[in-house]
Amino acid sequence: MSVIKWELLKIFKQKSLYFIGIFLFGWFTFIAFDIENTDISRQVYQKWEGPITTEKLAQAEKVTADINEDISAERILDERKSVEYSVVENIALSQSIASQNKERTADLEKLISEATISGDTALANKLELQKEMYNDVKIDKISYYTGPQEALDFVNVFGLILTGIFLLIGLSGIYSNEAASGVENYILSTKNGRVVTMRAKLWAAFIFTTVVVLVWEAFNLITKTIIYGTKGWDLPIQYSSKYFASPYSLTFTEYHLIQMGLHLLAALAFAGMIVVISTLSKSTVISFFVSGLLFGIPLLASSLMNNGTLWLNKVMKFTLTNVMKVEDLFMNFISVNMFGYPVLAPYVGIVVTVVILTLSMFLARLLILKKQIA
Amino acid sequence: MVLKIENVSKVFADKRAVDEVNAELTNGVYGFLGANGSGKTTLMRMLATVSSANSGTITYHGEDIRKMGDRYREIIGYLPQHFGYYKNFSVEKFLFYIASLKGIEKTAARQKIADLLETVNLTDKRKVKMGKLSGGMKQRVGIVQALLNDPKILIVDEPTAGLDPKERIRFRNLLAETAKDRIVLLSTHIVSDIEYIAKEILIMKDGRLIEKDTPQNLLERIQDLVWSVEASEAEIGYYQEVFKVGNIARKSNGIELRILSKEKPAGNAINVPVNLEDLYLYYFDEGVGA
Repeated sequence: MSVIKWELLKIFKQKSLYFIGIFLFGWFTFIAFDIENTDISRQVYQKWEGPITTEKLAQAEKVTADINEDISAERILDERKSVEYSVVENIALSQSIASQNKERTADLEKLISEATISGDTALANKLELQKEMYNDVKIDKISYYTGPQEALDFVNVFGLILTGIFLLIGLSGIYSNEAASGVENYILSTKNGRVVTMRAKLWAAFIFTTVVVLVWEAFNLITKTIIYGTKGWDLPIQYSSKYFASPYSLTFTEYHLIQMGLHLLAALAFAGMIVVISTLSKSTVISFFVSGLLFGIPLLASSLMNNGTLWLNKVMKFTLTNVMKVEDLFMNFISVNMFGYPVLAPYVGIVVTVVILTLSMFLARLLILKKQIA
Repeated sequence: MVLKIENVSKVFADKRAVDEVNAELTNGVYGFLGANGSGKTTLMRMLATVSSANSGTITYHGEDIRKMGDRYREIIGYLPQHFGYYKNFSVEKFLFYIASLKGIEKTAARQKIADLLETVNLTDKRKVKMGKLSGGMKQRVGIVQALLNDPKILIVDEPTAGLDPKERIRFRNLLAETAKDRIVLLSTHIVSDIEYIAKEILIMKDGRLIEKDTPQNLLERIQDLVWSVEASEAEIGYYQEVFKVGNIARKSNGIELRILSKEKPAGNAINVPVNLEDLYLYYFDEGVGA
């Protein structure tokens, strides 16, 4: 068996992973299925499904008027009518986003002219990009989209928790367990005990990370499909309230793929970081808490720093945890000025993550080559 | 095969653990004898490349072992003082894991593991979890892992600590058997471990190598210093205060003391043949008397 397989075996043999897994997935399953039946919603949306035409707009206006009348008369809306109300509200939302974007591009046009006149090319470039992006956003169809919306939200909250917890439990002891058990005393004296083992541990950590992300993603997609069906994945992400101001012209499908890719990349970098911390620590508990702090501090800081300094808020968006969370990079237009040209937040996130990942691999190699038993 | 230690020193924050050690080692068993804290383990670790010297070099066939890196690690087997293991791995699984770390191909590893388990009498325990083995059995697994790659240099650090007398004898015999065609470096503070199997004894004290010679030559140096004295119960205290007293044997006709002294300690004292325990007492006399 290759060294990687042994390292994988050691990771996957940890019983705590399965106890925590059963508990968390059990809990999330309970939460996911603890909702009212979605059949009526799906049926009502089916009637409205497709491009938003002038006829549909007129019909939506009529339905809105009828329902408003019912509300004024204090008549209780039945379930079907309530859903219908949410459909027409969503159609209204699509129109409002479209008009907001129009206004925004007009405002941006003015700002671009001002920036050009004042010679601020960097600002002009940034605004130009922003304008182009908002121009590209098209909200011209409607469908039942709770499934994709929930799937997207799962990544930001439950996915983040699952990746964080499993990586911390599974990988904190990857080196420190060897030190604590005394196995390290002679592993380091074997032919493959240093660089080959270090590479194997990193690969095993990456494979484990990928498995963790794929498992919860499978759980996410399966539960959402069972509960909400498969509709709505071709709708723009702006339908989700979190992304209504997003300048990215992406469907739920496109965004979810990007979201998962970014999450996985950041998770791999986090795994690399845990391996490095574990190399430095003789105690798995210390390794767990240090890695846990590095994971948790950005979340805590961003919840406490809503009114903090702008630059710090911006920096916090590019921590590994926030890149893993993904949403902050896509909810609004955020860019970083690079030699006069704006670089969009997701690209910055990718660069930061790749740098951390590379540094982790480099540091792990350096530390293991220099490692001595005191 | 020549393993050469040249001016090797290792300094920790407040202690010179190994101090300018020089030695040339060829095939055979070398017993590193010293009290706890004498620097044996630190030297062993440097020889096993899990620790590096602050100054000096260790060469194998003239090549610095640090530069040799994995090429050197390929030819060594190391059993550290504290032999760690994975509790949930069976003996066989654990040994396969170590075999993969040593770069041994699976089929070859299977054969080697079976042979070595047979040698150490653990074939019937191969499916038993490491955590369930007795101390002696674990040490035997430890020596098996060290021997898996058929090392040219075998480094064993205090291998008999915690073993019962029967297991110690078994271990000693095993080492003697495996010592052919390789350099065996055995560190211990138990003289009987090396009494009959060591080609040379290296005595370490306070980080320094103070003696390196064959057991016979070392014993010859102190052959006139060991005395047997018959004493009464009341005299024991006196002798312990004035001389280095080794064995105190209570016999039917009185008490017989084994004393190390340049001068005849008593009128009735007679010179007796020396052994390695006397040698140990001679060099490591702290708390013994005189």
